[in-house]
Amino acid sequence: MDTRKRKKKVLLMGKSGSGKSSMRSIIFSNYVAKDVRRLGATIDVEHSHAKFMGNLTLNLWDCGGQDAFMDSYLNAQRENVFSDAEVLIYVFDIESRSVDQDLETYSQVIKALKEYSPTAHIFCLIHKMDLVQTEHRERIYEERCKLIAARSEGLSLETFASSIWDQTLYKAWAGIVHKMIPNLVVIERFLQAFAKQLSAEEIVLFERSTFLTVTNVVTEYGEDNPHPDRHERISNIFKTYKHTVARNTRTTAASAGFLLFKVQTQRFNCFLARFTENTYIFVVVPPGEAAFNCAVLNTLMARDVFAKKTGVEG
Amino acid sequence: MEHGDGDADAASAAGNSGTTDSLEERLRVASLNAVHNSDIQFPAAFEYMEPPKTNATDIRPYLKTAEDEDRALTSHSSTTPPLSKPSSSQVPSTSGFFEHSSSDAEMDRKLRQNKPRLLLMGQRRSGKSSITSVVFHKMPPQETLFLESTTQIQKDSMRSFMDFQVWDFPGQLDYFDPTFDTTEIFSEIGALVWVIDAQDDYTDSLNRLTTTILNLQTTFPHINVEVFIHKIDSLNEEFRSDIYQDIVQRVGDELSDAGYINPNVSYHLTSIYDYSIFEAFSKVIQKLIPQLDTLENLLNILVNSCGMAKAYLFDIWSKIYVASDTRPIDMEVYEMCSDYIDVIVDITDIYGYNRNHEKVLGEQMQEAESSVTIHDGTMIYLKEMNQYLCLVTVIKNDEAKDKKGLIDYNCHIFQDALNAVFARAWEKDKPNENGEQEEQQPDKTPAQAQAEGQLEG
Ligand SMILES: Nc1nc2c(ncn2[C@@H]2O[C@H](COP(=O)(O)OP(=O)(O)OP(=O)(O)O)[C@@H](O)[C@H]2O)c(=O)[nH]1
Ligand SMILES: Nc1nc2c(ncn2[C@@H]2O[C@H](COP(=O)(O)OP(=O)(O)OP(=O)(O)O)[C@@H](O)[C@H]2O)c(=O)[nH]1
Ligand SMILES: [Mg+2]
Ligand SMILES: [Mg+2]
Repeated sequence: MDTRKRKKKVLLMGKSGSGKSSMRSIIFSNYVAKDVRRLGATIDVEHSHAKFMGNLTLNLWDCGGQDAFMDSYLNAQRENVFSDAEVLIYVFDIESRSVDQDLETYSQVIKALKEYSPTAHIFCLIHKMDLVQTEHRERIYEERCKLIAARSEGLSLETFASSIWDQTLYKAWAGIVHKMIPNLVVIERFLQAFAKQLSAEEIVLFERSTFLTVTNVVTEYGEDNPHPDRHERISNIFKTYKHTVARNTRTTAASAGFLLFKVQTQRFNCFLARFTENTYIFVVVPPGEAAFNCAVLNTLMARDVFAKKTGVEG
Repeated sequence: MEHGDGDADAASAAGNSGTTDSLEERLRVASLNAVHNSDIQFPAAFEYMEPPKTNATDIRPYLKTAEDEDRALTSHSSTTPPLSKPSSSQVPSTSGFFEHSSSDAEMDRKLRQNKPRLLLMGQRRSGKSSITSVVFHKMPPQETLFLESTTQIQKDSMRSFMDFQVWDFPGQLDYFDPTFDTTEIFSEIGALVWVIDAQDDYTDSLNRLTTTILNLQTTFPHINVEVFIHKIDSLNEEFRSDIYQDIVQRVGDELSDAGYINPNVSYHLTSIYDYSIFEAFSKVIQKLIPQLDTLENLLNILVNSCGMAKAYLFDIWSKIYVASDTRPIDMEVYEMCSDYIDVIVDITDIYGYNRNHEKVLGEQMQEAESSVTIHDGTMIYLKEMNQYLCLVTVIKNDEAKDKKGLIDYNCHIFQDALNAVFARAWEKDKPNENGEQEEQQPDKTPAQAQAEGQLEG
């Protein structure tokens, strides 16, 4: 495979203080939410690489949002910043008092992007939603989305409401990386067949270090689950517990992890196991001890087949 | 489902199509899986593999130690099972992880009769309401910032393995105001929890505390006084221990100046922002459990026979631990164990919904069970004991981890013993219902003694 293609340039932009570096640190560098207050404003562009499932590398451009830097991206550095971008993540601070001005800056960024990377995907995060009272969230979010869509020049756009204080962060970022994963169709077809073999209710694939959902399949047995936000909740649950484990085994959160996790109850059984080098597989099956143990073993054995069939080796 | 004598063979002959979820059936399945494990050929493709229906190694019923299990696995001898499962009703489970059903109503009723009371007192804004909200109402700690000052005594009833009441007092109240019926407040007492804001000047608080202790001393000399040196989250280690020393010293001096020599006062460093508040509450509640010694004994036996590093018996809902084995407490595993309950509670919340389809893939134990093996090989193992309690253990020894059958078996015996211990105690407490607190520990009942014997071997 063409290695250059696997590296995807991701622009992370938005007003200073909107929360760009906070999200990046929590998702990719194992920060916990209460630690991000210590982050200083980003100076110019901070580059980082995030490896994702071995054959996808995100080349993150965290662009400091202070006016002087913005000005420079849009003018002096225009071509350098906006060319070859696969994805633009634009962060809006819901608390901002200058909505019109924010939208104006956004509009200029979109124009530059359209000029140099017309096929790029745009993800807009309406961020810090925790600061809005629960009953108003939906409405305010919808209003903001409309304003943003009107300024997006017809480029491919997706919006998310997010906050570092709950699982919406995982939902948004899983949505973003999901778009970039190569051969997703093959992976999903494999998981579908596998779910059927195991009589599973559902199977979810999580990236190992970020615990973001890579993809999932649900069968007829799992389709009446009443929790549509369950995958990001699981990301949150495991990432939180990983921090507990790291703290208590004197390791870094990056090297802490799980080899095998199992739950058996009267209503469902599930397990989480290392799958490929960079993924965990999470399988939910109906109760039944013997079948459950077989499912675990079969999953461990399916690793090689999976790698062969999907080309996801790492 | 109970098996009469001699049914063990029948159960294994029935293969996995039997209808029983009895212990020996479960053990058989566990052993099949062990056999299964070693035979694995790693086929190129994966298929659903039915567990082989051969009569694999029979499990010897008397598994007590790792050596015993080894012997059992090689000897193929089959004996009749020593005990049957606890009266498992046919009603769907009384799982602590799902909604509480009341299948064991009789036991429940007995539980209710033991009702210690925890009284939270201290200066205004010292953190009393925050503590009750975080521990008993699952409020996220940062939300306590919005709590308003308490104006009336807030009484909460906690229904769990034992019933207790938590009374949150307004800080500005004069607890010995003559218009106040002190005997009404203190009569059924369990413990007085005095909360001190360690980030603030605590001189007044200490004065009130000593006055309170001295006032109570004449009428209620057996009260446990538990001092929470609270809000330590923003203080560094050194400062914490200085404050601790200072408070212990000053209270001790005051009391002895007043002629009170051996006061029944304990001190705890606490914060709602970490597990310290749960730890402290655990200690407070443990003192109110008459069967604590027995529970600790049983846990000691359990960890020894299974090669566990540590075992805690937790109240699932509050995350207070009722007992642990009595080796020195390793705080590092405590947090992993108590946070693990959150993981299981959250996962069961997501997937424990009532299915429209009744798809099952075979038999399974009634009690919820879970384990995680972390990067360094340590295993955390959790097992539901009844609708309130779960056992959480840490297993580091590699050999111990592999002996799933042994762990299952011993946990079961522990579970039986646990239920017996509480059942007996409830019966014993009954005559005392309206009388004064009984002083001495209840004697070991035959059931307890028997259970200990089985684990001990
Ligand atoms: N309430 C709330 N605060 C947040 C959230 N995300 C980030 N913050 C806070 O926002 C502040 C600024 O965050 P940064 O991540 O440094 O902002 P930035 O977008 O990287 O800023 P520049 O680097 O200057 O462009 C931090 O103090 C965070 O604590 C959120 O979801 N909710
Ligand atoms: N830093 C820190 N703050 C805490 C802690 N516990 C409580 N607080 C804060 O202390 C303040 C007062 O808490 P309350 O629980 O209302 O105090 P109270 O003792 O019930 O006060 P009264 O009802 O007036 O008697 C709140 O702002 C809490 O957020 C703690 O462990 N650490
Ligand atoms: Mg930044
Ligand atoms: Mg209060």
